[in-house]
Amino acid sequence: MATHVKMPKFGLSMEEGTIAAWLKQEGEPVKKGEPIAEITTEKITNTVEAPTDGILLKIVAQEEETLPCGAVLAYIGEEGEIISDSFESLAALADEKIKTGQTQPPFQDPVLQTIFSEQEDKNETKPATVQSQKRPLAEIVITPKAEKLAREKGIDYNCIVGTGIGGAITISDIKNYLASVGSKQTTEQSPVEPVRESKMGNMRNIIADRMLGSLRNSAQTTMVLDVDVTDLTKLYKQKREEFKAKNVKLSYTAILIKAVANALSKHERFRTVITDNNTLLTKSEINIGVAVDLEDGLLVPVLRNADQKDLETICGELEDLAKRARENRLTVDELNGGTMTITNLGMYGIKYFTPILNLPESAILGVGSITEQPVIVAGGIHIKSVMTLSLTHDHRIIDGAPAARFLNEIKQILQEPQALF
Amino acid sequence: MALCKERLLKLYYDMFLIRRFEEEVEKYAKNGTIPGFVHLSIGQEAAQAGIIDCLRKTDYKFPDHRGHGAIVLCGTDKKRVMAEIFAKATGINGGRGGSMHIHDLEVRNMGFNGVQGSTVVTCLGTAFASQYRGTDDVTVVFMGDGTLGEGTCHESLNMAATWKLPIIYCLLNNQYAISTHYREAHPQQQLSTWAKGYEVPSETVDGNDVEAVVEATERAVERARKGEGPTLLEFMTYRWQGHFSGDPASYRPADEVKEWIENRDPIKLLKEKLISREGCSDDELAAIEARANEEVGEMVKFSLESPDPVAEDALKYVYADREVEDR
Amino acid sequence: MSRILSYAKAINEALHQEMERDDSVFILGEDVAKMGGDFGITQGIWHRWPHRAKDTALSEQAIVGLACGAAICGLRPVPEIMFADFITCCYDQLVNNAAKLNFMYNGKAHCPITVRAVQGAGIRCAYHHSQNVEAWLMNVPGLVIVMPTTPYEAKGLLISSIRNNNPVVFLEHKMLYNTKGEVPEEPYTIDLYKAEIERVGKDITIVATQTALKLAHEAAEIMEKEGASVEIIDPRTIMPLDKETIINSVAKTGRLIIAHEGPKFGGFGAEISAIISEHIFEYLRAPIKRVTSLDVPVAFAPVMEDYILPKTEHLVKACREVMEY
Repeated sequence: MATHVKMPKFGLSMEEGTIAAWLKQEGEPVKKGEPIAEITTEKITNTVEAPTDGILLKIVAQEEETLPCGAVLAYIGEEGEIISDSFESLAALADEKIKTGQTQPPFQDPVLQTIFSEQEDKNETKPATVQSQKRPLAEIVITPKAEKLAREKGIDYNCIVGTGIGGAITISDIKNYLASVGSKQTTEQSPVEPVRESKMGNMRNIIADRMLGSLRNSAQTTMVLDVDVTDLTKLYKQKREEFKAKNVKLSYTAILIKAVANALSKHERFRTVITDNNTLLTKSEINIGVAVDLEDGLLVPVLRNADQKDLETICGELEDLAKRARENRLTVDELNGGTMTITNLGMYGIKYFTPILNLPESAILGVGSITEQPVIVAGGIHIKSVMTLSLTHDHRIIDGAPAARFLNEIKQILQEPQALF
Repeated sequence: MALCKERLLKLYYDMFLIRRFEEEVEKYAKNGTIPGFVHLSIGQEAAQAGIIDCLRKTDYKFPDHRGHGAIVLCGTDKKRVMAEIFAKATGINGGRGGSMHIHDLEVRNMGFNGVQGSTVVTCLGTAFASQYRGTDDVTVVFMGDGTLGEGTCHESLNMAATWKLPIIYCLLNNQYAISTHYREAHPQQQLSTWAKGYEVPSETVDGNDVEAVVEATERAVERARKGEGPTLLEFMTYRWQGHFSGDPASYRPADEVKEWIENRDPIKLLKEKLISREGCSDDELAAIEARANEEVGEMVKFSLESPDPVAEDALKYVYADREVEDR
Repeated sequence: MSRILSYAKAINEALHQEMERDDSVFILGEDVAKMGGDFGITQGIWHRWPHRAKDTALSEQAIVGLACGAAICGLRPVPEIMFADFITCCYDQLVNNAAKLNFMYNGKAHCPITVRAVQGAGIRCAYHHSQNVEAWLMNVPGLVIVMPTTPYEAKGLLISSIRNNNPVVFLEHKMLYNTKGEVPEEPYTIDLYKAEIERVGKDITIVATQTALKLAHEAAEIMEKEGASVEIIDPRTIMPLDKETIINSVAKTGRLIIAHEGPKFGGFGAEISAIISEHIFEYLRAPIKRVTSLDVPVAFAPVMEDYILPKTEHLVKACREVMEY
């Protein structure tokens, strides 16, 4: 039975592609893995490969046509095979056969037989109506067990070409994909080569696209502000033991999440994004994304409705999200829907930095390390614990002054930490 | 050979009883009370009653599908035979078997297996067991002209003759298998001659003359008890109805059917004999008939009033000493 | 030109038309000639061709043996076994003779016999007249086992069976004899080795034979209302089996239920289950289920026989279980 060739998904954010050129014509034989068409998206050009050996039976997407990911572009199968995806195409085939006198007796002609059986009279021995609409081929995208495996491994399987029945993605397709994406580094010392070539993994590709895309497609700029966290650190030490007794790990990131969530509830513009045609979309949900460092990349799990949760809950959820992020066990939903992102490099001693916006969000907060510093207060030098916050904002919709106000709001909250606990 | 009056009166009762039994069964089969199909033995009473009358309770009896009469007379609780045909829980086999599968090992009624020719080889076993254990119990197997087509009959006679097994093969030749006349299925004019090839004594008997039936059977039983081996008895008879209740039997010539019903009715023939030769009065016989009618009436009442079996009982007795699972 | 015919009449018509077309075809069996068959299926044939319709003695072994011998010589016998339960009486001829003749003669002679046998429960005739026998024959390479369900199938598949050069056991179900459907007047064949998708669906595949197909259609209607769409496949020929159609269907739906009359252990369903789990285990979303008769002899009493046979509610229960897995 004929195999579909579908529009692949080259990256997380890719939604559609355009056929730049067909490299093979209808009727030509193709081999599995051979490039058969060129696809362009906003950012890249790539090729579609034949998922199986066979003849390119029919091309349904024309050059210059733009189609969504997953749409059928063509069929590959054996010569003379009937593609019975739709009753109409069948009927057309039958008409052609009748016209050119190719028909056999009705019940032996495979095309007409299919039509007749779809139109067969309902009689007593066939109480159910045979649906005479489209009769699809085995049409599943991925087998249940392969899907489970993909989820476990945190893979977006839409970019994988399936080799199973009807083009379904199978366990072996997932395994092959995993093997090609990158096995763990061996601990052996490999001989030093002057230049070593390797392929960028899926996650790396995506991060590269997104970072570059963010810088290109927004007017982002960063401001920094020091925060006196002396009281906060004292309270932190106190509360940490209390929380531990309840089996909850207290973290500064969690505290920052709560502070930012509070601030966001009062600053609508920071919950607003700008869309392609310059429309503003304001969100009421306050979902905070937290950048989690992985071996060769990062993920940003989202903690939902942070404004409605107490600190203890936030600590628990954050710990779970971070753990699962490192184990590749996050769901797609947990990686989407953020209102604003926090990225904490404090543990590395970084003072301030210019984090890149996690588009389409309009702001991202960078958290630096806490250090003891001499601070002049009322003419005297005092030793204070100081943390520098770096706020990057999209100047297309958030100007400097509102950004400064927002950052100060966070500072105020952190400098009166009682309210957070 | 003349039988004594007492015995003849008993046989008259038996024959009348089983005729009435079958007539009631026919009625209830036709109106759908009895499920499935029945094979009526109306017209074959003399053969059934006569043969059974020659046997002990400990002799092994293999009735066939057209043997309600023989089954009823074996010594079983008669009303439970009818209840079995009616598919009731009180039937001998709990409703599990029906018309063709009525066994009662207590009286050594070995029952019938629905596949023709099967009992003809199974009966070798019971005969062998008697021989093995040194008893003089005999085995009687009922078969028809149709049954004779089965290879098992030939294997059976061959083995029984070679081992001198105590079997009486009672071939009730009612001349039609279903629609096939016996002369279209076999080359012999009389089927009893088939036994000659095995050097087994055989006779053709008027199956509707109960005295002739008894005489021939007793001879054969005697031989068997003495260890002299098997005998084949061909009883010429006729079934009044079609093969199964509902079969119009248009494959038989109407005048042939008429002849057998009107002039060769075994009950009528015995009745005439009892009156003319034994000096019985009409009243005497009427009393016997009334008794038989009453007994049959009670059987019918019992059957109609008995409960249906419990559905789950269908799971019983599949294995010895072991249960099977429900869904 | 199609018109409404019963399953029984459709078979009768197939026999008449094949005998018209090919004079090597003849029928034999108990009561098949003058009486036209115990079930009336061979009516009219003896009247047209008295020398090509033979009433036999009760000799199943001889009937099938004769058929095999005649077939080797180029004739095309269509013997009838009155009740499929009696196939045990000619089992040796089917298994050790018919099934292996082509093999024995290195293909130089075939065994083109079509043994028509009447199977199935529901007529209250107890355990020797109610059995389903396909499982008894499935483990015998060389046999073709055909199980028509509708009048249309009965005629087309019988014609194809008679024309086929292999020994075909053509199992008619006695409870289907009076069912009616559209049957074309002219002779036609139906591809013997192809299953039929009777209903297209995407959530559950039910593979069912003969009387179980009615249960499948009823269950499908019920499940439709519960939001699950059922695909129904009638295998038609169960050996050799059209595995591809079934595999592709179950790959799509991920859920398989096999429904058939006759005991479960070692039944047709067991084989399908093994094939599917062997080929497309990873496409399965739920365990494979079988809905069948109980593993007991078919008792006589109606309440018992009905308890033994599979019902729509058993099939619906199985559908719900696989959807909820």
